[in-house]
Amino acid sequence: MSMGMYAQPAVDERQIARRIAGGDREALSELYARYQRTLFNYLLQLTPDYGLAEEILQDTLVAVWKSAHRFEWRSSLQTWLIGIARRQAHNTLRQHKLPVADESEMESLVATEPEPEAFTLANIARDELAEAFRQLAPLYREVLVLIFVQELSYQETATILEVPVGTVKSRICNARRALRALLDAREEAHQ
Amino acid sequence: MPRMSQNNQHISDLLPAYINGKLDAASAERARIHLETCEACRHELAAWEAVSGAAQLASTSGPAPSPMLMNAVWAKIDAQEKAVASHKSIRRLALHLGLVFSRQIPLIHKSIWIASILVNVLMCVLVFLGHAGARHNLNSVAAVMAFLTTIAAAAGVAFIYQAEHDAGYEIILSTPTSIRIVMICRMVLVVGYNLALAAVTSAIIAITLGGTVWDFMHIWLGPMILLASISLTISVVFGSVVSVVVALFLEILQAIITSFARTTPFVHFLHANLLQTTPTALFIALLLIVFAVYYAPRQPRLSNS
Repeated sequence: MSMGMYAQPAVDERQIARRIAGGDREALSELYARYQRTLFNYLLQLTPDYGLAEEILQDTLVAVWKSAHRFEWRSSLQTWLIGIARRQAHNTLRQHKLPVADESEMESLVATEPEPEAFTLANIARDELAEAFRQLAPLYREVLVLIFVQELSYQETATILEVPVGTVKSRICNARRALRALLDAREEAHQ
Repeated sequence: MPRMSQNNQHISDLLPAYINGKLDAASAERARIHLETCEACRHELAAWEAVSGAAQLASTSGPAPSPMLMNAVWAKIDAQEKAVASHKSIRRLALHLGLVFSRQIPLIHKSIWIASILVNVLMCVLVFLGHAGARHNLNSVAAVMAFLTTIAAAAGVAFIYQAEHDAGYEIILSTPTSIRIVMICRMVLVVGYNLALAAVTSAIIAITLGGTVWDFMHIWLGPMILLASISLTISVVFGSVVSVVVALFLEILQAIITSFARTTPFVHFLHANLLQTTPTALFIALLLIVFAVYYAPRQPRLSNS
């Protein structure tokens, strides 16, 4: 895995982070313009409530503003931002007494061998797959978005989710299996 | 680093990272070679790519956040920074008061400190000398103690705020610190100091002669605070010397009242309500202090005198 990917962040990202730490409001607006879709798409995986996702996004930016001076590039800017968004989301969801992604799933079910479903997943229409994806549990949508949409490494994803790398791998496999199960159920319902 | 699969082992768990380009160059190359020869893993790759496509389609087709979102963010940040600023200013004020308070100690005339110690030592000496007689006459001991400690405090307070007796007065007038705050700090210092000394003396006497500390304290505590506040008020309005004279006069009056207390009803009322530690006495003391603090800045400034 490419640990070196974020060893040298883009010069302008460094500058933005430094300017935010120095109290430059323009810099926070620039950061927001750059990452608003990333963060909002991620947050919408954790809660279907659009208004709540906006509130969490606001709190995320407030937290970024307050803690930018402590950011030391141990992770990439993107990983740091998503990590803050996740923590804010969990705080807010807990405050509203809404379910936080259930961590007690059976993570031990790791696929070590290719499964028969692999032969058919690729043949299903993209729209139908996307529809099934929207019905996945937040826990699974979250990990799939981090890996395939945010294009983070296993290590970065593990940092954000605060779990070991092995858990990330098993969770992706479980997510795929859950997706498969949803598609099978829809198939049966159609028949 | 993930464990790299041998060529004859399947690489299923590496494929998501292979797709998003996060495998390091060596692992990616090995994965590519494996995929060339392993049909099962090629199917796996196709399945992961389908999942990846679904995730992208489903998660990026959502609505955008409100264009006014940053306004709400700035409102929250402003509110928090305002709260922090007010918290800081309260802390600064407390620090400033502490500093003003501690700076008053060397500015108050040394004789004020020494006189109070002498009065209390004198009390102890009197009690020890007349040990046997004093034991039978606790009331007189308490009365003498009330007289002496109270006048010491009142005399001290009379001199805490007067230009002609204050070496540091010029400094005070040239700093932005309010004269009122300076006066309150000095009042608290001098009265607190006298109070502490008298409490120690009371404890010593109580141990020597028997009885509780409070038996002695309630005789002098109220009068001390009341007379000190009268003394402060008079010193602010008429000057230190007048204040000391009035305080002495009141003290002698108190001694006379105390001796007539049992026979005259009006005098008895005065004695019971003002010359002991009662809420009435403390309330009047508070009113006097408030008046003195309010009146203080009207005194002629050094430059005018």
